Amino acid sequence: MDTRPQILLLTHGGWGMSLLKGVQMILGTADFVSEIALLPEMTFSEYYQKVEEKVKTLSKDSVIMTDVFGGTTTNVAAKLGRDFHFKVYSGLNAAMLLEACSQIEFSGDVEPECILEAGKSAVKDVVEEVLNSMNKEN
Amino acid sequence: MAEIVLCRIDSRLIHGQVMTKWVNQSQANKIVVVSDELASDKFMLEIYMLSAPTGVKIDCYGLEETIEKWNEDQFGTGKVLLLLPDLKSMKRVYDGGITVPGIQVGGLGGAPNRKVVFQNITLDDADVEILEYLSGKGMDIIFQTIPEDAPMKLNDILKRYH
Repeated sequence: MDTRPQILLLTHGGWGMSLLKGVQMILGTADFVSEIALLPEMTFSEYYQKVEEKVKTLSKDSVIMTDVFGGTTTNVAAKLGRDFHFKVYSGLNAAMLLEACSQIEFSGDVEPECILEAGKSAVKDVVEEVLNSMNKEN
Repeated sequence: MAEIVLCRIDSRLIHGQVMTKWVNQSQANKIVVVSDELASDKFMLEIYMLSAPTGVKIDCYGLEETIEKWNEDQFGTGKVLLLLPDLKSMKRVYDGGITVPGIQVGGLGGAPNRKVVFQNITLDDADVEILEYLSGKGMDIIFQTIPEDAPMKLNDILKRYH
């Protein structure tokens, strides 16, 4: 049995799987990532039950990634993360997923702080930062 | 007394649509959430408070407590978005004295015995009975999920149900 940590994506409408496809272009397959999409007709409790079923099967040190803080995806994950002791990261982006996937791929383990940091530091005002950096060099 | 600028029935209570769309649209600066479950869950309530837009306060009361608070000082001050999970709760607070002139039905969840009437909104017989009761009291009832969609009137909804 695969005991590597898993990554569970919770997104509105299911865009997490498209993101995964993009990440797989860089990394190759990542079969430890799964997603449960929040669809428009689902209530909080319906979605909660679906996610709970999945969360019960996750191996130790798995992480849950959600799209919007304040959205149902994150609210459901918060409750389950607390009850089942999994890390929950909101603000899912490519860098965050890529970092987590490569950690699992290469070391079979996750370092939560690095995942969070990767997600945070990916958000940049690009032109501004490049210009600032050039000015410092001069 | 506070002014109720929008009264919405939404089984998801506070979620993306409400936070990003309806708070802006209604110019509310306070969300009053009616939920026995949430009122007793400090952790989830904290999450909602953390995710509220700047300048928007969130109060959460159980069903009976809501009626008490209303009769005490009409929720204090501010422009209130009153949020309820289902029509049964709406009827209870209406009968308890919160006689809002209109309600917006945004989502009532899904179940096998429920009929889809508009977008993702479903109804069952008990809901229809309450809607007819409230409508009979002169309440203006519309169905609308997001501000960009045209609202649908109760009469048209009932035609689809029957």
